[in-house]
Amino acid sequence: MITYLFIGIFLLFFMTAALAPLESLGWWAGWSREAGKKGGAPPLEMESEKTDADEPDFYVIYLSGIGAISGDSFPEEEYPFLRGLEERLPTAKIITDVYPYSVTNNGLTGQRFFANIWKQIEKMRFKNPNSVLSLLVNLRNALQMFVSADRRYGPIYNLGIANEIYRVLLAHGYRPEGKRPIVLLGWSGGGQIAIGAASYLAALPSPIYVISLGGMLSDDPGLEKLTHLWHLYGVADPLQALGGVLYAGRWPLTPDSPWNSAMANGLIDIICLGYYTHNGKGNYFDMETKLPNDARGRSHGEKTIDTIEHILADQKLIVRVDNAANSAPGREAAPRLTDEFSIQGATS
Amino acid sequence: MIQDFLTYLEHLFLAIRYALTLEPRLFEVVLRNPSANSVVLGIVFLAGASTLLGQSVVLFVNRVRRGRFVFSLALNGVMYIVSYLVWGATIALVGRFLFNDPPSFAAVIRMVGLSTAPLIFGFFILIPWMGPFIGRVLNIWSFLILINVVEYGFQVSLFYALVCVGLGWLLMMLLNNIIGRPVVALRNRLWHTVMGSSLDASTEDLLLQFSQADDAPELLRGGVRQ
Repeated sequence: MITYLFIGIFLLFFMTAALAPLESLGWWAGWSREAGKKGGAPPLEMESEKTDADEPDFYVIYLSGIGAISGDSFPEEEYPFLRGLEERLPTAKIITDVYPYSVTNNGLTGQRFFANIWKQIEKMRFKNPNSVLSLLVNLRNALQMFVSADRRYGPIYNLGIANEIYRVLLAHGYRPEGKRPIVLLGWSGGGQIAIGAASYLAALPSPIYVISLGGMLSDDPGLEKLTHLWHLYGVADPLQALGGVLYAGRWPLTPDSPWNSAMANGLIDIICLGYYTHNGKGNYFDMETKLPNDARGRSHGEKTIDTIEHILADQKLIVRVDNAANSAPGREAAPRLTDEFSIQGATS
Repeated sequence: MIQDFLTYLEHLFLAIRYALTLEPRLFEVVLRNPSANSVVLGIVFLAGASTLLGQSVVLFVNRVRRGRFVFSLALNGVMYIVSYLVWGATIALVGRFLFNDPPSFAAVIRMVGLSTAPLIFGFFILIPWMGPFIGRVLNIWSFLILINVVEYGFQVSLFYALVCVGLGWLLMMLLNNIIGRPVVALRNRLWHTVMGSSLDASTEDLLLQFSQADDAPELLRGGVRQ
């Protein structure tokens, strides 16, 4: 009896995994209801009248982790982080309404066959964030992340996501001729999807930067097309480390892979944040747990935001906050990125 | 009629189970069962269709309609049957040349057909990241069954079974290069007619091909205003 149960669960998992690419493949083949959204972005009425002055200095597209249910439903812990980021980057437009686990930006609670089930899971997760059923969301989205990283499906999946990012950018006032930089901030699975989408977003005249927060990154061909990638990780985060194990293109044995070529060409910086976990206490968004031995007594989440701010300042996307920070009583000067963090990659 | 079909399904599942587990009773199914031919054909057809389903990304990227998609799966099932008939005949020929008292031609072809049973799980090749690995495992499994059936069918040792399969493979290569070319060309033409692309086109090639389509995403068309 137990043997049959195990076989059943095993087969169910394999069937689910085998069906994972079909959403994006069906979209491309024109089989799905959402296929019509494949075409170009809809024209915006005010688009032609907008000028440089109307645009923010740069755009930050936040691509959430595999716990996201839709473009506006993330795990609870991410909201304070996003609010903090908005406060620290006043000249940027921070966009959070791209759902990176659907090529049509259709959240799990959107127009889907199983939408009602996902809605119930979403409600349960609000009551109990550690609910076992919410793991189904993670499983479903993790499979989509693997679809993005798979060389067979990635070109289709990442095209769909890039297209949605472009649509959302236009809807938020982006004008290609303005050439404003685009920063893709990908957390966990969103990191992989960000480098995949960068492959197509590189067709835009804007520089494309990717910041991966504990992302499980593959050796995606998009790495060779983006302007720069910063991979932020914690030493207690084994999931981000899996990327270096699961994808042979990241092994040193394959020097010509996109990952190793991008590393050799100085397109990737790997930044260790310290003792960060992937989930739970001490994760990248944790605004409560204080960092051990931090001179400024910051929490994990605050240091993550600081690091992002440093990176953007180094790229001259924002004015260095040293003066503002120093003017506040009791705050020390913000050190240079290379002073504070252990950076591997082109600079090491 | 329905009873016959249910009996057929029962024999089919039994044969698949025996083949997958390298069960010796498998050979009774092949040698004595009156519906052995149709059971083996069923296995090979399912293996062919399932394998194409596992590799169906090429169909999706070609934007084939649902009807053509199903037709392609069926077509691949038939193509598999034809190629396994040839493969089975090759093994039977080599066995006849190498060993004394070989089983009948038809029995060998049936046994070789059974070795495709693991490929019934070919649709698992769809699984992202680990699918290609699963495909290799299924091929190795299929090879082990083939060795096993040759050992039993010709009543020879593992070494001679390996020699027989190896020589059969060489003969197939030879046939492919001498008389197989028109057949392969015909198959490719048939495929091209149904799909509109060649069998070995990569996803990138196909995306490039569709980049000028009216409903192609703007980023793909390269029509982004600068």
